[in-house]
Parts: sequence; structure tokens; C-alpha cells
Amino acid sequence: MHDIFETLIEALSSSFIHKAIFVGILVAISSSLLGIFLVLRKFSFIGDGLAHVSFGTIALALFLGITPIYVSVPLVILSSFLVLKLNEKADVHGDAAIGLVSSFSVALGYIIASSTSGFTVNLSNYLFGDILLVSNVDVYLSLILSIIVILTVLYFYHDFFALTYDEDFAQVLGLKTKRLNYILSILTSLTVVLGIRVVGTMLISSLIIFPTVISLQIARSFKKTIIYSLIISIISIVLGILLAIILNTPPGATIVVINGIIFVFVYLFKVLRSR
Amino acid sequence: MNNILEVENLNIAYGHDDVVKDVSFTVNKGDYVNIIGPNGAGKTTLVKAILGLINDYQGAITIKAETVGYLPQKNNNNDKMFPASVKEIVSLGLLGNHKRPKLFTANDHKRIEEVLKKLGIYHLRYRRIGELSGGEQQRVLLARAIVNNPQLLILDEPTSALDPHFKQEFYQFLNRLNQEDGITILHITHDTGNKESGYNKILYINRTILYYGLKENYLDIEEHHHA
Repeated sequence: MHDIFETLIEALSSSFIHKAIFVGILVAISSSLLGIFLVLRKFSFIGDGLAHVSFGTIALALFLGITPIYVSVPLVILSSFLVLKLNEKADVHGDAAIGLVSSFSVALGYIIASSTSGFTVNLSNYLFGDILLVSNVDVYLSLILSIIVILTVLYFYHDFFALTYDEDFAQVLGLKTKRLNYILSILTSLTVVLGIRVVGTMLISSLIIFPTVISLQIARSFKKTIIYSLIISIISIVLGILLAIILNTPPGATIVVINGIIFVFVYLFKVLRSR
Repeated sequence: MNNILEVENLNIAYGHDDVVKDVSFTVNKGDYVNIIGPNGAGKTTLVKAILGLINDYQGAITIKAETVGYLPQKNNNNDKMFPASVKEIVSLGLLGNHKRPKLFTANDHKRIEEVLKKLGIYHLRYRRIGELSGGEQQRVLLARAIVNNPQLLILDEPTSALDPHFKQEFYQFLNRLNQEDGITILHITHDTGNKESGYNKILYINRTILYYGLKENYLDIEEHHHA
């Protein structure tokens, strides 16, 4: 027990853990703010799909020797537009469009990765993320991206709410629903790229889905769902980072497992309360 | 002129199928128009074009109302778990009047509560909309449609989900909106024989207009047909 505290105190006094927690909280806020709109519009897997796309873009960036985030942000945003366009113009269903774009990107990324020797190790860091390795540049970029996401969601909060509840009615109100869908896609792309550092491309969709689904179990209003999912998201990321240090487990996976445990507890609480 | 809505030579086709053909009519301020016609006659398509939900049409639609309220056939969102309270749903009706970031004022909250009370659903204001019965949900959507004091209110067969008791109340409520508040109403309905309904005009459509004019004249024609 004494050892655990010592490890924790030692870790807490180092700057890498401050950076990790700071970036973690930013990602928690961005992903849970967006989560409600994606989950309720049955677009949960757009996060997963775009994360697959980002795998391809990271492989490309490593191949070209460029910092991945500079390649990932524009390409992931473009891919999210492609998903929307396929859905609108080519009559490809949303989930199929996501599948097309994401599997194509993974295939392309894998071809690039396998044709170049030596960076498979690097690439695996991005598959499961490692928040304990964030650099100062990561911190600044995360800060900028998450401020963009947070302010945009707050600015368009009621528009996104109307769009999520009833797209037809939103249109009758005079809201530009198509434009709002594109804005949501950009924000999702930014959040996915942001989250890769924390939990990696394989697990990023969990940050978008889990907190919202957990708070849907207990919240009775839209606003409360967002507030609860913010709290759950921040708790799970901070707790995940600390537990990962104590148990020497991978932080990304630990965060997701904690989300899973919270879900079980909240679900049981809901069932017991309704009896 | 006292027009609030003008539809001129409206044509809407799905592929080779003309759903709405050469439809022209004018609605005056204060009119209460019942739109009737068989299933598949293009009633909902016509209304959707007026609301801007269908843009692929030929002809012209001019709306002179600054605010329009809309009550669909049933709740478009049937997700029982959707985490929106009744008050949040009704507040959506005010969004059209607001500039971004669309913050609600104390007056807005007062107006929302006033409408909730008017429709007898004030006690449900913090309930999740998905938990309510079909009839209760319809009242919430009516509240959402009238919360912004619309000059033109468009209803698409809203009474099918209502219990008979509330149906009467609903018609009386529409009459008051029309006569006391001066709201122009366009109402798709099958229920022309309802004595409670205070409509003054009938638009009978079966892809093209078969009759548009005063209720009395239409009823005379109908009687003549049956005689």
C-alpha cells in the first residue's frame, strides 16, 4: 500500500503526468460534448470509422516524415465529408458509407506501413495511444483543437439539439441542417484526432460512446445528459491515468475498462431504483 | 391584399409520377382551411413544399407570414429513451426567432410555461417526452408549434393519435387560436364532419385541386351529389 502511494505521489509530482491529465481532461470534454449528438443520431460508429481513417493518415505521415496530426486533421475531415456525400448523393447508407471509407483507409495505411521497414513499432503507439508520452506540442495542439470543439458546440448547442431531435422540424425553423451536419463532421474529426493520443485509434469511439450511453441511463433531460457525461468522462480519464500508473497497465485500455465498470454500476443502480 | 400564402402553378413529381399537379390557391389572413382528399392525394407533399421540406418543385410558393408553426402527423422521433424533457422540446419552437447562440430569456421561459399551462401539460414539463402517451406527445408538439406565436399554423393530420375526448378539446383549442389570436390555419384532416371544427374553407385535392372555397358551398355540392 505504502509503495502504491509512493509511486502515485512520485508520478503526480512529475510534469509528464500533469500534461497527461491536462490533455486527458480536454479530450474528455470534447468527446463527451459531441457524444450525445452522435449517439442519439445513431452515428456512434462515425468515431470508429474516422479513427480507422486516421490510422491510414498516420501511416502516410510517418512515411512522409511529417508530424501525424498535421496530416490527420485535414484528411480525416475530408473523409468525414466523403461519408456524408456518399450518404447524400450515392444513396449509400450511413453505416455502409463509414465502412467503405474506413476500410479503404486502413488498407491503404497497411500497404504503406508494410512497404516501409521500421515504423510498425511507431504505428502501434497510435493504435492504442499513450497519453503518458504526450509532448509539449501535443499539449498546445490539444488545447487549440479542444477549444475549437467546445466553443463551437456551445455556440450551436440549440441548433444541434434541434437537428438531433427532429431534422424536419429543424429545417422548418429555418436552420441550415446540411451545414450543421458538416460542422458536426468537422468537430468529430478533430475530436477523433485529439483522442488518438489518449486511447489510440482502436479505442477512440469508446470515449465518444461510453459517457453518453452511461448518462442516458439516468438523465431525464438533454442538458443533464451532457453534464453527467462530462463528469463521467473526466472521472474515467483521470482515474484511468492514475490506475495505469499504479497497476502498470496501458492507460488507454484502462480508461475504457473503467468506463465499462461505471456503465455496469450505473445500469444496476437504474434497475434497482426502478423496482 | 390580405394574403398570407400564395401557391402558383405548383408541380411536384417523384420520377414520372406527378404527385402534385398545377396547384394554385391563395390563403387570406385569418382563414382556417381544411385540406382534404384521399390517401396518396399529395396533401402531405403539398404541405411539405410550403414548409420548405421539399425544394424540388416547379411553380412558386410565397409565404407572407413572419412566423410559421408546424405540427406533424406524429412525433418524428420515436426513440423512447431520447433524453429530452417536455420543456426542452417546446423551447425548440422558439429557435426560429433567435439569433445565435440562441440563448433563452426570462420572457421565453415565461412564454413556454404559459403555453404548457394553456395545453394542460405544465405538470409534465420535466418528464422525458418518450415516456408520455401518444396524445400527450401530440400536445407537447402542438405547444412547440404555437410557442412562437405563429401567424400561420400548419397541421398534418394531428388528431389520429388523440383520444376522442381530447380531439374535441383540440378542435376547440384550434378555433380559439384562429378566432381569438387571429392565427391562420392550414389543417390536413380526414375529419370534415366534425362539428367542433371552426374551419371556413375547404381545399379538396387529389393531386390537382378539385375544390377550393368556402365550406358552405362545398357542403352544398356534396349534398347535391348525394341527393
